Amino acid sequence: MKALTEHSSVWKMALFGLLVWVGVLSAPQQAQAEYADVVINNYADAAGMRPVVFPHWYHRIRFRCKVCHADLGFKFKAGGNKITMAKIIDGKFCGACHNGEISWSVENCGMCHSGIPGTPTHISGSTVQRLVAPAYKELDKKAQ
Amino acid sequence: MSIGYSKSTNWYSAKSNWKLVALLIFLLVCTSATVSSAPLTKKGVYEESTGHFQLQGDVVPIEEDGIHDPNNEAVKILQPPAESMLNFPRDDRGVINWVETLDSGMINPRTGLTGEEKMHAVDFDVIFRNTASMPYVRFPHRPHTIWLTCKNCHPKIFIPQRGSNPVTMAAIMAGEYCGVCHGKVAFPPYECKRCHREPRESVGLRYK
Repeated sequence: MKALTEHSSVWKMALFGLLVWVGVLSAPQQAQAEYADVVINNYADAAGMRPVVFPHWYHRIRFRCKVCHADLGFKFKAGGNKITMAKIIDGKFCGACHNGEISWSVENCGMCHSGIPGTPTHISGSTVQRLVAPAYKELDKKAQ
Repeated sequence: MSIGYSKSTNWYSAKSNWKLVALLIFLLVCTSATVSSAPLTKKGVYEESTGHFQLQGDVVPIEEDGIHDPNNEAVKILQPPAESMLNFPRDDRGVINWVETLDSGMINPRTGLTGEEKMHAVDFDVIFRNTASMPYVRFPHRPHTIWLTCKNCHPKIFIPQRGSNPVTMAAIMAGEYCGVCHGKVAFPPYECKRCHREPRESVGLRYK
C-alpha cells in the first residue's frame, strides 16, 4: 500500500508536469511585426479597392529612412499623408519611385492594393496598436 | 477494526485515483496533441516553425499573415519577409538589429532616390538621467543618423535643447518621442536594456 501511495504521488507529479507542458504549448504566441507592414486605408475601401499594404521592411532594406521621410515628405504616421492615386501619378509620394523608372509603375494595382478589404489604417503588430489604439478607429470612421 | 476500514477506503480511493489519473492523462495527451498539431497544419513555404518572422525563426507566409487578402493574385508575387531578412543579425530577443545589419554591409540602402546623396552622420551620445530606478538611457546619435537626417527628429519630435523633452515610457508606448519609430518600425520598447544601458552611480536607489 505504501508503494501505491508513493506511486500515486509520482503520478501526481507527472500530472502536474503534463499540465505545465500543455499550458506552455497552448499559451498564445505574441506576434511581433516589428518590421511593420503598414495598412493604409484612407480612401481605398470607399473607392472599392483593397486597402494598401506597404511593406516598410522591404523599403528600408533598399532606402535609408531619410529618403522617404525627409526628401519625399512622408510623415511618421500611418495614414497621415493623405496619398491619392492622382498624387502618385503626379510623381508625389510613392510616385517618386513607382513611375516605371526607379521601380515598377502604377498599373500593377494588386501589388500595393493587397490588403483584406475593411482592414483599417494601422501598423501591423505595433506597440501602439496592441496597447493603446487598437486598429485606429477614428481614421476608420473618417474613411467611411 | 477502524484501521481495516480506513485501509479499505484507501484501497478504494487509490483505485479510483488510478482511473481518474489515467483518464486525465489520456485527455491531456489528446488536448496537447491537438494543440501541437494545430500550428503544423498552418505550415507554409518555410518548414522550420510557425508564427511570426520577428520571433526567432518563426515564419508565416504572406497570404496567412492576417492583413494580406489571400484572394489577391498579386500576393504570390510579393517577396516573403523571411526570404529577404533570413540571415539578418538579431538581438537577444530575436528582433532584427537593423543598425548592425547596415554596419555589417549586408545591406546598402540608398541615401537618396539615386543613391548619390551623402549622409551626415554625427557621433555623440546623450545620457538621460531622469529614469526613476532604471539604469540611465544612453541615446547614441550615430546609429540614428546613418538612417535619418537631423530634421526627421529635430525640432518636431525632440526639441534640440537639453532637458526640454519630457520623455516618459507611457508617452513612448503611446507612440510619441522614441515611440514614433520604436515599437513600429524599430525595436520595441520592451527591449529595456537596449536603451537603459548606462549604469547608475548608486545602484538600487532613486538618484537625481
